[in-house]
Amino acid sequence: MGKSTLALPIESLENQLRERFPEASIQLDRPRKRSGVWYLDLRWKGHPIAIQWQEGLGFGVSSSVAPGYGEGADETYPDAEATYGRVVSLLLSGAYTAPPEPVRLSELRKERGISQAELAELLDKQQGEVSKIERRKDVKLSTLRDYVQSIGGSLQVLARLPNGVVRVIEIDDGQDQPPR
Amino acid sequence: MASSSKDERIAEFLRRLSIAPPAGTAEEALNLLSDTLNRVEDELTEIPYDPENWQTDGRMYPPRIDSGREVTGRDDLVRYRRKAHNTYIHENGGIEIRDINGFVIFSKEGADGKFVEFHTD
Repeated sequence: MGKSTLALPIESLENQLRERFPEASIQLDRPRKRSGVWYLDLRWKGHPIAIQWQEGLGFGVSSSVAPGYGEGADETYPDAEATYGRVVSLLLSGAYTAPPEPVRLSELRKERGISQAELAELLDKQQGEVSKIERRKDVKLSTLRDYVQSIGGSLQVLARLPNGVVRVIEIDDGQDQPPR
Repeated sequence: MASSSKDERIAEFLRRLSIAPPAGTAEEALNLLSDTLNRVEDELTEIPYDPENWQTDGRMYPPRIDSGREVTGRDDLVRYRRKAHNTYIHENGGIEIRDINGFVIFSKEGADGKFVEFHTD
């Protein structure tokens, strides 16, 4: 008997993406055993995405540039269709996936190259108060919002649902809304 | 216990791996790498060990056996893939970790003193 010629889900996804993005660099990284973890590395207009797949586990999508070694996928999807939709969305929007793991406030501040003293000045607080915020286990949303805005970002609260869908939570934190 | 940042944990993992006695076989090398990384993560994070987690939980995990790949023309070398790195394990116990762009971030010799080599001819 000959070998099965049925394409694996990740091979089908590869074909779909090659058709949709003919100028993209796309490489299928095959494991030694078919039952292993497969990777599909895609780069389009300087935007890299790593897609992983394994029988029984489904797909994983990662495009974040966070440091690390040996982590799992940033996002997971049950099938090729959902993965294709997400990858196309990421490429067209130029967005990056965000790992669901938490990051400490002090790490965010250091990534932005801002010292505690500088942030204290921006927040009109004492340096000791900034230190307390960074070590506190329960922080007010308004405090978080001010902290993140002061390092140049904006605060979003996300809900990650079991089916892989991520939704932004709308929270009325009492901040005055700009006039319409 | 306060968890260390990922940068600090990677640095500690590579520091410990670099000063460990070299491995003599591929199996020993994989065990050395796995044990070193797992100890660092046990000591420096509060994230529980759950290697079956398909989605990242913030913890770093050693290469999975089923992520092994053949290296063309090299029966002496196996490449283990994760999303952002390739880890090469040589039959002499040598270890080389490269990022996905091929930049070498760590290299350790095997017990015979030889590092992982890639022939370009």
